[in-house]
Amino acid sequence: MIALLVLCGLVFLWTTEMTPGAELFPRIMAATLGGFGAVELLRSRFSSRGREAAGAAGPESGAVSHETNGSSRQLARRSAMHMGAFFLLVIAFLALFPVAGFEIAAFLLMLGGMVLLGGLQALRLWIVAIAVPLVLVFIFRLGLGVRLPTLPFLE
Amino acid sequence: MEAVAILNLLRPLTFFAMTAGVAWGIICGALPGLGATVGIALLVPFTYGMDPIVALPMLAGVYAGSIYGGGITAVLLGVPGTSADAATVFDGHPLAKKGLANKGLTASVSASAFGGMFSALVLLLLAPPLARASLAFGPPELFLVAVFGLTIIAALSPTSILKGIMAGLLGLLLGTVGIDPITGDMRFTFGAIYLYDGFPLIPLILGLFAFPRCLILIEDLIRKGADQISARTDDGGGPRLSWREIWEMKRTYLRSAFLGTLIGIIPGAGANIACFVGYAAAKRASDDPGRFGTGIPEGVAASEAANNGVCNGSLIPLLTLSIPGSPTAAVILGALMIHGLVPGADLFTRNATITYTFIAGAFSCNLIMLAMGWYGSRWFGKIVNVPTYILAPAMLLVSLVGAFTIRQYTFDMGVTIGVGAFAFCLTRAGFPMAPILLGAILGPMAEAGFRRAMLIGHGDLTIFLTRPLSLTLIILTLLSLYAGWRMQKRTVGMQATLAQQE
Repeated sequence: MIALLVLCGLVFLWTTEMTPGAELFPRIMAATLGGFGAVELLRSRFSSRGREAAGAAGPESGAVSHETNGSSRQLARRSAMHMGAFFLLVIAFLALFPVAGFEIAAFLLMLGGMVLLGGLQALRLWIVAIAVPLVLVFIFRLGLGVRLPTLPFLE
Repeated sequence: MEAVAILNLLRPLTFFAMTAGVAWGIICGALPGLGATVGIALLVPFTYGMDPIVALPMLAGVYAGSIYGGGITAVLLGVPGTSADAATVFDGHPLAKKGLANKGLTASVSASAFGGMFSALVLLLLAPPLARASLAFGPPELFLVAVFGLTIIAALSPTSILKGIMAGLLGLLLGTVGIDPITGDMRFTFGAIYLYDGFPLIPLILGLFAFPRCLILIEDLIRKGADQISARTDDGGGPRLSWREIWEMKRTYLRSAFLGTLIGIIPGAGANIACFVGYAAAKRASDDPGRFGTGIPEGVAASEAANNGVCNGSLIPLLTLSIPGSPTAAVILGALMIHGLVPGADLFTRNATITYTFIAGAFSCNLIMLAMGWYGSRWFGKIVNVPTYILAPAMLLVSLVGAFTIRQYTFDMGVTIGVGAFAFCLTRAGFPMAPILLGAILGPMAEAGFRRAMLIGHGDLTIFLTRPLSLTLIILTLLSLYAGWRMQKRTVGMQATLAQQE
């Protein structure tokens, strides 16, 4: 929510040098969005305070909830690490795509993604990592005429 | 015109595209977590280079197929593939447990096809006169139609209507990126020539819908270990529904198809409500309501005819007034724009051949779906066995290639990734994605309408209140917000009551 509010402020900053008229609509949208964002932020603050107050009133299940919180935090951390690694893989694909060509970049993304998510058992399905990019090459390059960057040694 | 449309459908390529669209739709519907919106979003790049006469019937096939596909897993596994099939579980899964899965599956496909065909006929009858009415719209009305469309989609937001409206405003802001059509200023392009024509639509659609869905699948896989759900499709499944049994349920088919179409026409309702309404209406009308929930084909048919009735029903406000009645319809609006088709009177005059082919396709794909589902629904049920660790990277790869397809810039892939990461964070914070897309699509129309209205009214905002049509649209906007709020409360209540009863 705070990021949205910052974005609204930036819209005002970025529109300062625009011709009168061009800046009007974005500013109206940003101001309205900012207003609603502030309302939502206040609402969520008040409701979280309310929840905290309700939590303080019932401490009998404290030990159990502490344990549950610990394991869910661990799970959340694991999940965030996996997602982060997956995201890096996607960025690597984007960097490799114009240099190494679609086939290599796509194969690495598929294989890396499968190993990351499925562990070593996914290695048994390494053929999928070859088949999926090949099917896409067939459809897009041959079928639809899209000029996907190809293997460097085939150029 | 209708004859030309039918002849277009008989072209081998169009027929093949429709068949592929229905099959893809069934697969997306059967895979829990994908559904119609992601299915269409992933397919749009494939259709970019196609003739609209081939592409649009294909998309109609995906829409119908995916709503039906969700019913397959609802019957076989008790897990609805899409929220539109939630009520199918009540009788579908008990049928499968009794060893009569085939009865449930055939009731599902026959009712889905009937609901889809019924609503396509209503679309054919109602859309042209409604589209003519849109000719009366001037600049103030065009702005207010965009606002009305946005509030309707925002009101569908499952968490909070305010967040839905904020998402719509964010979309309208995205719609201002690029060259200002009146002053020629570059707005928010930061020197990138790739943004001069505005935010690229296909990368935006894929970033908003497909990319976050992949991340959510990954998150589910890690958190819940929900690697795959095993569909037991190896047992016989018993006999299929007989024609006599179908004939005996004719009133249920007709009632649910009518209700589904009506709910589809009312912007903002949607298939996930229609299935419950259809089911509840059939139960109320039955001589023996106690049988519902024990595993009877009529319960499956009641839910499925209603949810597929919504598909073409929701296209009526979309094709005539640019008002999508559901998130899926918002993506279809994007697909129409990509093919250079703007909803309104033009669709039924200048682009009549394409539009009537689309409508005829929306009807015919139900026949294809009937044939596919009647003989192959158990095979489609096996699709759920695809492990998430294959599905998620493959889906991601398709989205990235799809983003590249249109302009063939690597920059567009970056847009999908950037928008996707941002959309994932927004989804986690409870923001819906459909209003963002709709805002980005309707943004230029809304801005042009607003600025022209200001010029006509010499900067006086009362221009929006003094014209009867504008005033009507303002009242409808306020009513849609109120209705959205009421509907949210009622749907939760209805779902809880039905679940409790079952």
